[in-house]
Amino acid sequence: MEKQSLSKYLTWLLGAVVGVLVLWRIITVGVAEGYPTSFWISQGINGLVLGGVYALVALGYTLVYGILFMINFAHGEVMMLGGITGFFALQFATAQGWMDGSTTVVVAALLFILVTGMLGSVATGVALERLAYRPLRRAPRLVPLISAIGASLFLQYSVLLIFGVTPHSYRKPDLISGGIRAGNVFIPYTGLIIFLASVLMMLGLYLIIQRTKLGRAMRAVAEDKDTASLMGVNVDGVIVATFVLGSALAGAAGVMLGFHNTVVKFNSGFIPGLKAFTAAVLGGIGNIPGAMFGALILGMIEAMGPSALGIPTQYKDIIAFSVLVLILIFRPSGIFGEILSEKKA
Amino acid sequence: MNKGLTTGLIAFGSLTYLILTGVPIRLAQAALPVLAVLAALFFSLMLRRQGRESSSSELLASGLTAGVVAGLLTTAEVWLFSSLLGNGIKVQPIFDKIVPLNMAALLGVRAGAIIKGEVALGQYALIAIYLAAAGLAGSLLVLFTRSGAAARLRGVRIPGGRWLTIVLPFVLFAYIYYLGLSGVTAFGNNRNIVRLLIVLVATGTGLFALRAAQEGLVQLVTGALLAAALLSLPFILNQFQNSVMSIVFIFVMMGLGLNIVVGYAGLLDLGYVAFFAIGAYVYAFVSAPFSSPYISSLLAGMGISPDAPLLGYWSAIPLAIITAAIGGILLGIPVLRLRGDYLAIVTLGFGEIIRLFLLNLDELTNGPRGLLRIAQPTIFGAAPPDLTSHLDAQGWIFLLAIFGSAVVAFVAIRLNDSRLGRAWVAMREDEDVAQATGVHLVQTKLLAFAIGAICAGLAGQLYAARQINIFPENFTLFVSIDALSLIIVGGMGSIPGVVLGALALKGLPEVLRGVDEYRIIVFAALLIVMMIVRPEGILPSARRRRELHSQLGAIPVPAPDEGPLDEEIEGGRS
Amino acid sequence: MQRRTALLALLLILAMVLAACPAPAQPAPAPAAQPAVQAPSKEGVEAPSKEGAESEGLKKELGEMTGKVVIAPGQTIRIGGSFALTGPIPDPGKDIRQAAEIAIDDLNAAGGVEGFQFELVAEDGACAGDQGTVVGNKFAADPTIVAVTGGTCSGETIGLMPSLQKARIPFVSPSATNPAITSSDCDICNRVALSDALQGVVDADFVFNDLGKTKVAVMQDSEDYGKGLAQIFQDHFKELGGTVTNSEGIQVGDTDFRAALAKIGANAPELIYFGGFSTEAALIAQQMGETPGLDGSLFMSDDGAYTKQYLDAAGNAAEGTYMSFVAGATNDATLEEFNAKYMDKFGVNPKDLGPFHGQSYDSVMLIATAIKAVAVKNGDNLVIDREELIKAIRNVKGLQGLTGTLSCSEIGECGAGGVQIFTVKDGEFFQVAGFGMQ
Repeated sequence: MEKQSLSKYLTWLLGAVVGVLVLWRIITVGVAEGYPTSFWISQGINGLVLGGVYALVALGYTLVYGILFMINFAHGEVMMLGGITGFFALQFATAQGWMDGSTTVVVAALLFILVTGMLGSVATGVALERLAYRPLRRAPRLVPLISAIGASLFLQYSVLLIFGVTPHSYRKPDLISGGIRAGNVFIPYTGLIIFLASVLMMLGLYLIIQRTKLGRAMRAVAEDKDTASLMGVNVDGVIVATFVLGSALAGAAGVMLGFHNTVVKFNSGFIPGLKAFTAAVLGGIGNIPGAMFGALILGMIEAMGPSALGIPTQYKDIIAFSVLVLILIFRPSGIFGEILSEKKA
Repeated sequence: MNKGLTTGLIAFGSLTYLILTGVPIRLAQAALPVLAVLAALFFSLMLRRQGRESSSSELLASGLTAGVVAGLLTTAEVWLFSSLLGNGIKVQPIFDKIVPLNMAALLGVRAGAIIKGEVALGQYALIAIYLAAAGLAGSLLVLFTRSGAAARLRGVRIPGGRWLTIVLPFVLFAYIYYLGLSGVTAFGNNRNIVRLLIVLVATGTGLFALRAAQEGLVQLVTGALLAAALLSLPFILNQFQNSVMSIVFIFVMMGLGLNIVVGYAGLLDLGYVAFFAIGAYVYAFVSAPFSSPYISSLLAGMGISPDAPLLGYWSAIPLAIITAAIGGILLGIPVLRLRGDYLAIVTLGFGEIIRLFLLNLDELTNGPRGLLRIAQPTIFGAAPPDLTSHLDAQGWIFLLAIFGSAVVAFVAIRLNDSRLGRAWVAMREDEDVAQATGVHLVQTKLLAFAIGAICAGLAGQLYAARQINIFPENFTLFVSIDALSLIIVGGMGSIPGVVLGALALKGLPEVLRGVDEYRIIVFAALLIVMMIVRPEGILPSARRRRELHSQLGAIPVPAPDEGPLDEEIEGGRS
Repeated sequence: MQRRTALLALLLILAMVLAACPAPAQPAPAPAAQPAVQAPSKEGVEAPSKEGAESEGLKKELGEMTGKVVIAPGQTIRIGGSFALTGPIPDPGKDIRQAAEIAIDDLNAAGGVEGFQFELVAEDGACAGDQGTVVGNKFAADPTIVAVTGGTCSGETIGLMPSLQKARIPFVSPSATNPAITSSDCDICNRVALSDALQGVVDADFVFNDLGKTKVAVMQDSEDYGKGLAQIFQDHFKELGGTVTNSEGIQVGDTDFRAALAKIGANAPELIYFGGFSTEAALIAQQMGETPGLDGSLFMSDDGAYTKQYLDAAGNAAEGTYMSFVAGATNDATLEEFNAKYMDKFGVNPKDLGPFHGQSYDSVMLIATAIKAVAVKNGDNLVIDREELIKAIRNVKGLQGLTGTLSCSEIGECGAGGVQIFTVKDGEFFQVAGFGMQ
């Protein structure tokens, strides 16, 4: 016990030191640079948009973890596949001339692309569950994790082989190109859509979990798989439903990110996947609103961090990973705490 | 019937995958027969379970259905693609590998015929026929294994099997030596690749031989002879073969080190590459100071010329050990209270952070441009490759790697039997009980990280010498996954297992060079399959096999309602 | 367990024997007359040359120890190629490879050298130093490789250099433009493309003088090529009297540059100069339009982005952007012939893939010219002395290629032509300044 609290004390000391250093750096460098407020607002908006994307993917992580207590390492690839499927839907729509039509037609086409992307992701997620995870449900934790890593690599490189090495470019239709200008601040339409969509989807998910029969079943399975099964819940079905929901969200994220960044590649899912996981942990894994807020916070930190700390913007990935490490050291249960099942108590 | 239908559909899906990834292009004219054979094996696997319940005729019917279904669907697909290509429609922007060569290989015609659309319907039908036959063959295979004849075969004992296993590696070694003699023209242009393959196989069978020769004089003698054979290899292999073997043994060092962290102490470290990188870059800094702008100016400021290495390889070893150990401890301190998935992810984060630092701290590490012209290890100022023509540069590294692996293996074996080793086992089984019996958790964990890190650091240093130029891209997550897979596939907790894993996962892909693109996919699929079928690896330690196959003594992880910490979490969980 | 192992091992041996089955394409070379005229090797270790058999093993040892490549009848003259087939510019990389293949075809159609045919050994350099090192090691370990065409990218080429230097294998790069690649220290380093020492300066001149912009921001992708070029541009621009407001680095593979652009936007530069490749250039051009402070700013990039890939990816955002290219002095007539051959073999217009096909073709031709000059017949074998080949490449003068008249300088600069500046109008590149403009 002695040694334990010593290490705890040391860790907190270390944390305090780091915190002070960071603050000092922000004050001396970031503020001193004297960026105009509009700059910070722009960065903030970038951060919110990033956060919105991470949120959609993080929700999927959090759902699966809440119910299966496993980290779906391949979730980033599920998102990427949504982006790829969406790309082909876009090609199809462009060939049909829908993207140049009237506003209603374009909107309908965009919805079509979104749904197709989501379907692609769902198919991937369900296949993943069935082939790589279900046989390992009772295995020690290391085993499904390795399997997930294998699945992630498999998906990435299959996409590379099947669809080729050239990055796929999304052409934005004029409708969603550009954005809103307010003085010196610019909000891209794609960014706005992403943010709104993720909020809506989060709400939708929350409602499903709390208000529907399926949601109740999911919570039951999260609480105790075996008892739920004894009580008549179709555990396998619930798990598949969880993957369907999580993957659909990731697919939406993939398509929207495709439009926002205009590029989808075979490894487009890897880093965002890791960051989304960070976001989920930040908010409290298993906690849906937590995942959302965690994602937004992470997005902001990533967008504003480098400028605030006066370090090159290339370090934004390091900042994201450091946040992950720090959170798991100091507050592993996340900002908002607990797991899905706990909400029920 | 239903089973046949589903099996056929799954087979069709898999075949489509193979077609889309361009496998037929590689197989050229052998595409259809090979795919048919694979299909037959697949069918037999799928129907195996049904084999127990149904009658022979039912089984045959299922097999035939599966084959016909797969065959018809695949034929339709090939016909569709060929027609599109024949009409000048380019499928490639969508499916990169659907090119005339691909279809031609499947149909047994020339690519030109596809473009002109001159393929007879009969050719298409051939596909369906092959696959239907495969379906039948599959069910026949199941029937055979079910039958008495197969049972009798299984019962056959090869006389002297044990001795055969022991002698086999030496026969292979002799053959390797023979193949290297000038004047031998066996295998023609492929000779060197085949020789490499045999080297890998020979080393692998050597491991099995050791196991077959049970404790005692036989094992000692076998071991000594095998060691001698292994040590002679660097002198008789060529540069390329040596380079492959050197990376195999560098990864043996990595695997053994990671084995200590993951296998002995049960700490799932996914960021192992960080220490590998530390070892490599530290050696690069002292051996090629001119490559790093910061160090160059630092030395220039101190009046030392940065153009010559500061430390030789051997003098740099203590430096690598110390820095790696510090790295290990720094990683260990914050994660002391984490376990399971969380530990994995945090360590993964560390690994990535290190790589990103290497990439972005241009001034120190030269960023993506890497550190170049790292010096080779020398003995008393001379590099053995320069002294004798029998040993080339890579062979020297290979030799060093063998020694390095031996040292690490020795350390691992001694640790396994030591108090620390037992503390690790206890900690792995149940931390609270271990603590209650007097195990200092903090010390034990930190020691595991530190020692593991040291092994990786040493491997990294040797790797830097091997590569001569190192870049941040050499130290990605892949390396950690590679090291972990060695242990997983080879056998967790067991030294022969790690060596086998390295041979299979690092050596074989080099032999199968022509299939470079598929290497990672095969690797990834292998990971998944291994987890499902044989999670303890091919040559696991006996204890581990018991653990993973019994529901009771499984690697303990927090029960679902525990969180990532091993103490009570704020939030008042009961 | 033993039984299964034994069976497994037996199966493996069987598999190996079967693997050996594909009979060598050429008939097993008969032992040639003892090469009595072999020049005494410089290294002085001659033991293996005493044997007479022409097995591959012997050929290797001979080559390694005497610094000569001995090619038996029926064997090919192997030229290695490092191409950026994966990475940030896969299409230009493919284009370069395919052009090299056409060059090999042409050489072989013309009879090769003394009846010996050429063979291209293509490897993926992935446009990165680590992969370049791997490819370099592969080639260095293969004594049958006579010379190398490549790498495509500067970082990749720099990764190739050490191992090729050690193995005394000369290379000619069609497209690597970083100045450090050719120097008086490296006798095996040659290139057909023009150095960035020129491109950076011409670009800076253009921006300052022609466009009249005096306040720019510089971005680069942290790779040898992009960073190097950006630095040259920056230095010369300052010399001219301009101001550089920001110097930002990004990473190859990044897709979101909004944060970096916002930082730059705060200083409102008149133009952003980007040193790097197509994908990132296109994304920056696009995201610039969304960044406050940068509307009205122009965008300029380099030969690594002078591709159709850039136009496709950037779409409307490419309009009005500028691009420079290290062009050759291309002759339209011979290029037409080349294009026809290319179209016939690969079914695509080379311009749709990348801009360096002419240079790639010429680099192979350059190598072949040098080989023709030094290869001697020794009995039935063709012998190429490595050191002589290295010198011969440097001595190439007045070679008529697709990119003009090639003559190699003492440090290995062999290219002809000059820097051209283009702008994008209606989705196409139009030259507005530079070499060849009236």
